[in-house]
Amino acid sequence: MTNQPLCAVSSLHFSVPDLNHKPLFGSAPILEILKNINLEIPRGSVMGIVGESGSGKSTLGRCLVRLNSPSEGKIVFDGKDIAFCGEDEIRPLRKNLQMIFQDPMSSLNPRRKIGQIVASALVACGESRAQAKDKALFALDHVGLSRDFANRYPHQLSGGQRQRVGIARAIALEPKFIVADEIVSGLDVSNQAQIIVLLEKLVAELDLTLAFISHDLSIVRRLCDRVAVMRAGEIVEQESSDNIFKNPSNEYTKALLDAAPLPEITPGWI
Amino acid sequence: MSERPCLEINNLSATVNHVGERVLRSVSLSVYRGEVHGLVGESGAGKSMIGKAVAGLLPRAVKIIEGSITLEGISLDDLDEKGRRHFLGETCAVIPQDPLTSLNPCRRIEPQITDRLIKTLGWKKTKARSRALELLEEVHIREPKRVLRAYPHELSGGMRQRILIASAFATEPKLIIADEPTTALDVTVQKQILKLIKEMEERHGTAMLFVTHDMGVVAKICKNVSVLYAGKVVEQTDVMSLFSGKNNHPYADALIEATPRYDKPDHSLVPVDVSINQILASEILEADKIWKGVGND
Amino acid sequence: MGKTITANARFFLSAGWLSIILLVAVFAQFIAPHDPLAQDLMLDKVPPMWVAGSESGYVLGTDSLGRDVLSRMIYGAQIALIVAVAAGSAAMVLGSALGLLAGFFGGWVDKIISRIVDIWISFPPVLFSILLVAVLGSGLHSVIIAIAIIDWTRFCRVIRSETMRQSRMEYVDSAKTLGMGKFSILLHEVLPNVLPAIVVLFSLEMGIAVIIEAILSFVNLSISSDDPTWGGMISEGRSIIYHAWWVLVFPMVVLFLTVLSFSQFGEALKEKYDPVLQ
Repeated sequence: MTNQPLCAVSSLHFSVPDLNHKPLFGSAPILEILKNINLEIPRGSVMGIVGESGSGKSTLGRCLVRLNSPSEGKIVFDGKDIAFCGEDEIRPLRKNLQMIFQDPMSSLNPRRKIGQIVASALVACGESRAQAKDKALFALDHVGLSRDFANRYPHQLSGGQRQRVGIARAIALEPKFIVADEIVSGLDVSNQAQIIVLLEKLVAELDLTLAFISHDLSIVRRLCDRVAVMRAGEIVEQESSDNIFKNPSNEYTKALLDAAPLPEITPGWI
Repeated sequence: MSERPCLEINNLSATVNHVGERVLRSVSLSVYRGEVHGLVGESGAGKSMIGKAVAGLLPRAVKIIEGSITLEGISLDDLDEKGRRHFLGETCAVIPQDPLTSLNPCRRIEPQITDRLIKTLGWKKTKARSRALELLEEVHIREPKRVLRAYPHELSGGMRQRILIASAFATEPKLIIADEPTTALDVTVQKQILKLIKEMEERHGTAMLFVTHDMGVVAKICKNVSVLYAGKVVEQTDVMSLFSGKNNHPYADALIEATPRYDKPDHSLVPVDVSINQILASEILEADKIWKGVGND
Repeated sequence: MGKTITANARFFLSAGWLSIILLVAVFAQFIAPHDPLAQDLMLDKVPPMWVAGSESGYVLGTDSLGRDVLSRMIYGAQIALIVAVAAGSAAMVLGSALGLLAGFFGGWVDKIISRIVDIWISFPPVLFSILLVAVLGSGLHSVIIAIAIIDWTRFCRVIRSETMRQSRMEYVDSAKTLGMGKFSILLHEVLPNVLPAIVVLFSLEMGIAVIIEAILSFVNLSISSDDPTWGGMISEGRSIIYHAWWVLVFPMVVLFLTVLSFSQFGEALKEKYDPVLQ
């Protein structure tokens, strides 16, 4: 049973009507955002999902936590296919399927205090208020935010601190699986480094399975055991981290690696 | 270098509304013809602000309280408001960060390039138009005629950035300020755009101030670099020395060390830590003390 | 610094004026020097006390039926406030509820509500109110219902727009990942963020309600009795403006100040208490 991947996606398709090209009479043409995605995320691993804009990586992330429902295909989480379940069936699983969002400014309710944001997440998943409060403070502590942060509002925190709150909210629920959608993309290099180090620590300590979505190959190399490279809605390569970075087989992967500017002098790079 | 620099900034200090801390602390730097000078730092370090100060685009609340900016031998202080705008219009151009919001969505591309030529340089419409076509070809846009007639939303981000680059070079400025021009782009597009910028800059011999937060980009395109923290230049050197890891300010080294590298996954990602922050804090304190001493005389 | 001074000035001035109007309305019986309905044809069109030809006891003069202008204005405040609060609240509740639903749920809910709003707005408001009063009969309750029915669309559009904006924020997605039900998200996550807009608009709406009532009074569609209203006084005053300007001017000034205070008060409340703006 433990050999089963925690999350396995097969033949996943996600399409939306392309309203920008809708003719006057008749229905809009279909825009395929995800085409035939097959993905396996082993238990306890950190899976990197890499792609540029328009690759569909965020949409895939949202499908994994069932924020979106696919058009076709299967999403098997912990043995159960959640692709087309109703909200009532999924609700009990939600505690285990958490997401951390990219924009820490809009992912935290601006009119709620930090402590409330984390605690209410716990209450929504069935904890008692008193327990929730304690667990919230503990989670904040775990991500390096002291108690007095609990009484502040999001706009009073820096970007890096807000992102930690997002992480705290996710881990407070003690989930099995977390999808992190470009969570360090908007941060300064020093904040970014801190968050990456924090994530590494949390993954080890809490035995988490993590899907890390990013456009930055270097960060993915650092954090992830396995990597899936996406382009235009498809996965073009899916390998262990070592293999992809040392021996990329796909042309696009090679182009991505080639284009990433490393902080060292290499004449002739451009 | 016996020739004089294209841009010379001397002891530039600025505050917000004349109160409190300085947002630029006695910044000095020089950029010569054909040189790409990097301004690197984290957010709030003041790197964008220096560029804006030169281009005359500082927000109203920010006031320059000390120092001088000399462009092509002419000090900007010597000019009146109108003269300065005209001079900057001819001599300086900006490549902005966000190709999405920097182009007017309601106008076609052509006027957005030719306006400047017609208004600032007084060219005729036909001359401006053919120059615009030339420029689009220089930035490797295929079907330039079609693109001139297009609206911004019909074009991709990379194409829009090329157009913005073309616009910047239109008036053959002596100095270009590139304000994080690739930050909003995908990594493969970024490489193409960096290559293009370098090519254009070499061909036209322009001096360039390149603002970025990415040490990787600095390594690829800049010749010299100023590292900024809290409005103060903490390190100023050529890129070879910077990346050799010797004799640098610890903050500069820390920024390089904190950048993850896919070819060195096990290399310890040291976040800019407490000791470096302390060094920086005391340097800032020292600098402010000295400055206040001078100011109070 | 300058910003807080203006913010505070705005708050205290508007709250101050509204408090005065409130007190005046509540204690009208004790404050008014005369019975607002008492006519004295011997004392018609008496000027205010600082003008030659005035009578003592009639501070702001009298109208063409000899009724004391000041007393009528004082009692008029009662009507004004009742209308402001009642009609404003009704418009707010109806408009905000539909706006929240349309903005949050989108889809056919939004389509239906938006179509209703579009059609509703295209009725000319004055004709609409005439129709309503004809159906409902004249009287204060009709006026309040008429105003609420006419003006809720203003709320609906603005609140719908603000709700849509908030619904796109990632904190809503975040709540969805917790398995929170849609109504729960709307109530606990989105509504608190739309509330500042509602408060400002409510305050503005109270001012608008007062003006609409004045307009209805002006065209004699408001309350049926002789009870004084500011709009009614303005209407009467209009025909005798060359003989007795005070009958028109004083109620107009008070109306203006009251409506201005309502609009400023809402803004000031938002500035003072919205946590995001601290």
